[in-house]
Amino acid sequence: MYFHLFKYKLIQLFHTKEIIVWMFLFPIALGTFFYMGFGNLLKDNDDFEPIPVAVVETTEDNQKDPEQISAQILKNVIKELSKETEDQFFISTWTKENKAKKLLEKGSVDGVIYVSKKPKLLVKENGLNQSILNSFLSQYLSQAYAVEDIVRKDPQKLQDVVSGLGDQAEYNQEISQNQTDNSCLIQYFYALIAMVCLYGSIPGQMASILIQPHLSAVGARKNVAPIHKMLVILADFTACVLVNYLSVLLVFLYLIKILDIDMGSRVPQALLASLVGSVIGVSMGMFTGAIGNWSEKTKEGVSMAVSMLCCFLGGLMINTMPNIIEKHAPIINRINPATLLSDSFYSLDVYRGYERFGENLAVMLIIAGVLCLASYGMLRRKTAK
Amino acid sequence: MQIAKAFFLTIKENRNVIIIYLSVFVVLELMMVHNGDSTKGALFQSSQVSLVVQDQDQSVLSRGLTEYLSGLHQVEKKSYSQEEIADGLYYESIDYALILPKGFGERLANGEKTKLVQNQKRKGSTSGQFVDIQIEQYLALLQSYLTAGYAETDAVKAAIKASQQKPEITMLDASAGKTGESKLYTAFRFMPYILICILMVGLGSILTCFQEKNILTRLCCSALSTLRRNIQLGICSGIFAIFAWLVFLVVILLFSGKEIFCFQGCLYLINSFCFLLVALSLTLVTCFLIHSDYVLNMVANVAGLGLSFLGGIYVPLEVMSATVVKYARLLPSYWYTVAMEQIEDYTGTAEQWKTLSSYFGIQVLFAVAIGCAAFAVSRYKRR
Repeated sequence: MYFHLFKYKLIQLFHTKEIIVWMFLFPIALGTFFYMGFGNLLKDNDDFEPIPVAVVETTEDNQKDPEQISAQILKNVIKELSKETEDQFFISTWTKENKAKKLLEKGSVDGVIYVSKKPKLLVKENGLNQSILNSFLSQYLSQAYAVEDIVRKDPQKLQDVVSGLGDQAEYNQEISQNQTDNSCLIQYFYALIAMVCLYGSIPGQMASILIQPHLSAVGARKNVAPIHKMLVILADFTACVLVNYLSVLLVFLYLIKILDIDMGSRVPQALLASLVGSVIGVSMGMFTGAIGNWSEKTKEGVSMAVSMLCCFLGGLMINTMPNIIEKHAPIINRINPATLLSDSFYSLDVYRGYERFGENLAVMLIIAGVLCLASYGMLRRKTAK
Repeated sequence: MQIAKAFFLTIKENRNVIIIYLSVFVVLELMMVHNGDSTKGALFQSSQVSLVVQDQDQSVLSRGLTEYLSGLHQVEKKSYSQEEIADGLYYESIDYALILPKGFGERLANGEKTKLVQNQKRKGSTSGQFVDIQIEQYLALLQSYLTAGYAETDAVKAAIKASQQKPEITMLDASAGKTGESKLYTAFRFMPYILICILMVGLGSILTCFQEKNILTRLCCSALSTLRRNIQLGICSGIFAIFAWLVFLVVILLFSGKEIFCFQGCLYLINSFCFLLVALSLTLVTCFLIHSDYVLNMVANVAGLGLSFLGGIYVPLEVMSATVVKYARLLPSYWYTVAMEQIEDYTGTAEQWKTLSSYFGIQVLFAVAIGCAAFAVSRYKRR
């Protein structure tokens, strides 16, 4: 009997074409928009665009004045870095001050470097390129100061110091414990998968309404049928979970194969977490569909509002929202299914062990269990009166 | 005005749903506005980051490096496990973890130049990259002094002094030196997503009642023409939209206080009103095509989030690829974003006002175009 009910529930779900199509289509559309918005930031992008800069000479070429020599060195460094090679750093325009300011106002250059005894920098706004120009000049001034300082005390050390500074150095090594090489923006995709799981509340609620005799004719017929209600609820529940889980699988396939998002090597574990997420989503829908004597529209509103709020707090719109919630109200992160799901994916990415993943899974199973039991408890008592 | 009467009666019937959605979106707006941080922050000015230094070497040189970083950032010297570092980086309680392995000082003094220290930071962290540059620069200077024969203690002092040399920096325009956006910018930034969602789910749940097959058939049989029916629906939808807009303006007023009562505040209001028209048109065309509340919710999220991401609201336009930005011009949210940036830098010149007016006009044109499409769809469905 169970399989009979399960089969016809599946057929019924696939007959509600509008909802099923959108359940499968919406995460793909959203994933595509996310990828278009920041896909190029997800991977390491070593492409560095040379910085357009205007250079104004405020010194005369005087080889005898030591401070002029310093300015000459800076000039040569900028010229060297402006050569059209693979390592080109600047696109420099050598001009007078007025024209340089006009170029800066128009936005043709990101900054104006004044080559003088004490180099100056003129910028129009705060930005990454402006910060790089600042760092370049700071580094130049620091090294020039160090060389002068050393040469003042021991001129014979000049050669050693200059060749030392010129050597390629990489003192600092970045180490990563992550299983993948993803940026923090991957959080959006985790939150998207969580949202797909929670949207299982739609078929869950539909199933719940179709079980209640006072809300639908189908519900009335099911109530007079000689079947244990538990069997009906179980069959409907598992059919809804299956359909929702299919949409989750489709999302995983799309993200990994089409968009080439690195979800790590622990995809089976991620799929397990998604399955539990689907169970929570469907049971949430059944629960909201079963509570109270509200109208169908009100129950729909409550279900959608709760899903949306959970997804927002899970980081769907602002990826750092879980971090903010963790600082102010960490208990919400412990019970929010969307946060638990995206945290599970994160823990698979970052940690080698499964402790944190296991904790999240356990909490999700408890939430699912409570919602299922509560839904069954309420639905079994519903009559036509 | 039978349609208008039916519209408001339907609102009364579904007031619980509308109140629920309004409450949820007010909470969302409050949270977004309260926590909206600008990604166009003070990159230019050195900002303090939260650093963890694990000094396993405990030599003069390693302590010197820690002292140098303490002068620039908030440094925590207590011992962290790998998991604590990973958690700290994820929850942003720490920004950068530096590990000075045993033998660091000796290797630096011997002239080694590769992999002397190790670091962990969030992927794509700009502040982390600046700390990298600061460490590389300091270690290069320190090694120069050691090569020149300085004692370790003297080399540390000299290197710290040398690394404090900075160029003189001037801003072209004084107002360009401000760090971060104003409160009003932060408050109005997320309006497109909020407006699209609240209209699609709130107003949409009312409009779908009029799209029910039986009701629609009866309306088509009535003496009321499609045009008059749509005009009445349009006007009522407009009233609902303005009411929802005013609710969120009250939220913004509570957040920004008297700041909104200035010319810049008015410009923000005009910009958000222009986008309200776009959101209303999008809602009308969606409701004429889709009749299920569940599907409306999904479409609202796709449209709201899609337009917000591609229009540069959640992700700045500067970090998006050039191709995407080129095509984003076809979206009304792009023009909302560029208008916001123009208003933020508004100084009252005629040229700025002309540019701003064109951005407002483009949004209104989008609204008109989508609205015409909505009425065309309605007419087509009637056939």
